[in-house]
Amino acid sequence: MSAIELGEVLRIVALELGRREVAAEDRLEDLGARSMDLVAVAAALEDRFGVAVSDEALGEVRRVGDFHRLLVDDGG
Amino acid sequence: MSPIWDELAPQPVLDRLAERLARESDDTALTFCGVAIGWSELARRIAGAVAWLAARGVDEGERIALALPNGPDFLALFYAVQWCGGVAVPLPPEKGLAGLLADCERVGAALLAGADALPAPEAGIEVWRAPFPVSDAPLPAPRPTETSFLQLTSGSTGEPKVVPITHERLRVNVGQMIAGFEISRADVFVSWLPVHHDMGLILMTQVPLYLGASLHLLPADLSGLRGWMATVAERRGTFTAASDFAYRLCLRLERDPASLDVSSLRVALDAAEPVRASTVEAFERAFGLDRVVVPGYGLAEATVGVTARRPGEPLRLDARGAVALGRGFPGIEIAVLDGDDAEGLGEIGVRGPACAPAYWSVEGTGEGLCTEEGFVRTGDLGYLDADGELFVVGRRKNVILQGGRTLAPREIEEAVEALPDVRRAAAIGVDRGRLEGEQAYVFAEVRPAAVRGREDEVARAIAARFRERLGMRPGRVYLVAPRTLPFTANGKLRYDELRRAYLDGDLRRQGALLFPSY
Repeated sequence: MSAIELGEVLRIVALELGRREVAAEDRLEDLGARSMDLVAVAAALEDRFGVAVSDEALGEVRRVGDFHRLLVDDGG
Repeated sequence: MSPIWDELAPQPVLDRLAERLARESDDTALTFCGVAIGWSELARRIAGAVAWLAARGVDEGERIALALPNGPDFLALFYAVQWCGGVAVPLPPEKGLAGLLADCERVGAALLAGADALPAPEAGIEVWRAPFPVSDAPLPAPRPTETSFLQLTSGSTGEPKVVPITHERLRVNVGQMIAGFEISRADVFVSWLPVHHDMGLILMTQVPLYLGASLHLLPADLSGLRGWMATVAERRGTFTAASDFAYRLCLRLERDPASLDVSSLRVALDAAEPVRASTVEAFERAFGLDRVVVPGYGLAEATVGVTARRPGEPLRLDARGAVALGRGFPGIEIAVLDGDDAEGLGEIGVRGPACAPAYWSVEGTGEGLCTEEGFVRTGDLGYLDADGELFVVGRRKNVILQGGRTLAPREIEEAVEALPDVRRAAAIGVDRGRLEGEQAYVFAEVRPAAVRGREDEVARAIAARFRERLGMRPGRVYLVAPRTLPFTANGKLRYDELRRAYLDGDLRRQGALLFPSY
């Protein structure tokens, strides 16, 4: 689903994690993300793109770029 | 015959601990992240902190703030402060320095103990950092004052409050919970709840230490959550507790629940947030459990534990889908204070020997929190059914229940309104029926022209301020146009109207939500 651009996902993740910017390869735990951050990012992405983040998928997220991958996979 | 809680918890917690430290020196007191900490090591840590405090000098009843993460340092200092006649004030270590200093000021604490990374404040307060001293010298006898610790809470009105937990009320509630949950020394506790907060502190560390039951403590973060059920399986855990949100999140993060044998679990308390039947059912199904997730209810004003269903009782729902929360623990009376509406709903009141008569304040004359008949006003709306079981269906107070903690809107709004770009702010709890449950949504009025082009920076500053003051993140921060927030004629925020306008999409349609676009 090409409508979901990586740049926009990174912008939302950065905002929700309180960072100026994040990179796709950043590990969430290195960014100080806690469980509630993970869920808030998923909620923001769901609201922004109208794509549900599946239950299993969230457990697999380790790096920022994984969010983009699972949105594209789920959407496509 | 003495009441059951006196039989089950005959001694104050600190006295019982002193006995165990002296007597059971070869045994394990707890594990933290899998590493065993013996009673003798705990004794050395407490003795080291007691010696340090004694050398500094502790006034009787002096408040000493502890901003420490889960682990033996917290426990050693928590008990050492009380040992020396001080009053411990556990604070969330995730708060920023400004938030911690504001809390210290509220309770009149001149000493703040924290992790080695705690920054140095400019002035006005003494900071005590890890690593903390240990000592082989024998512990002196404890000389506690009346109050064990102060619990910061949101109160039942949305204003931040301080509840004094006396040694006596603590002992009584420990006994009540041992009776209500049928806890014994044979139980194996597994907890990743934060030790700075009532359920994690009292039920999940003080009860097992009181009984000499096994305690396996994990960090109160993502790693603790990820290791939670694996630890239950590995240690044959029998007793755990968390908020409904934590059970939902655990389900979502655990890749293969069926691979973990958690059949040893006897009680998994689900409390501190509205209990969803769907959570209980899904959790039990995924982990192959039956009648183990136990719904309960409590609040800091009643020390902590008030009700829970009896272990082994099946889940029960009323016609509207509310989950039965059980009857009061021994010695606890529950009443509907003003149940005159058609459905018999009213504010839940709690009365008993573990209920605080008044909030605590530096001035010494705390605001009362009970009715004339001695019932604590909980701010929760509910009813008792014909069997005397408690059902909570909503709340009268404007507090926000997020991730198992209760947040006061006023505290959030004052922190956010101190930012130069924010004219006014409102914080409401929004539950959109999703995994995250109720979250604090912040609506900050800004001048569009003044923030144009740097909306994300302003929103980030608001979120940072929230984190610093509350020690947790906001669910969402919205920048809104001037005159978006609804007020009554006499200037009170209409929280329900704001929530309705947001959830119905009115704010979005009116173009009142300036940022972000989702």
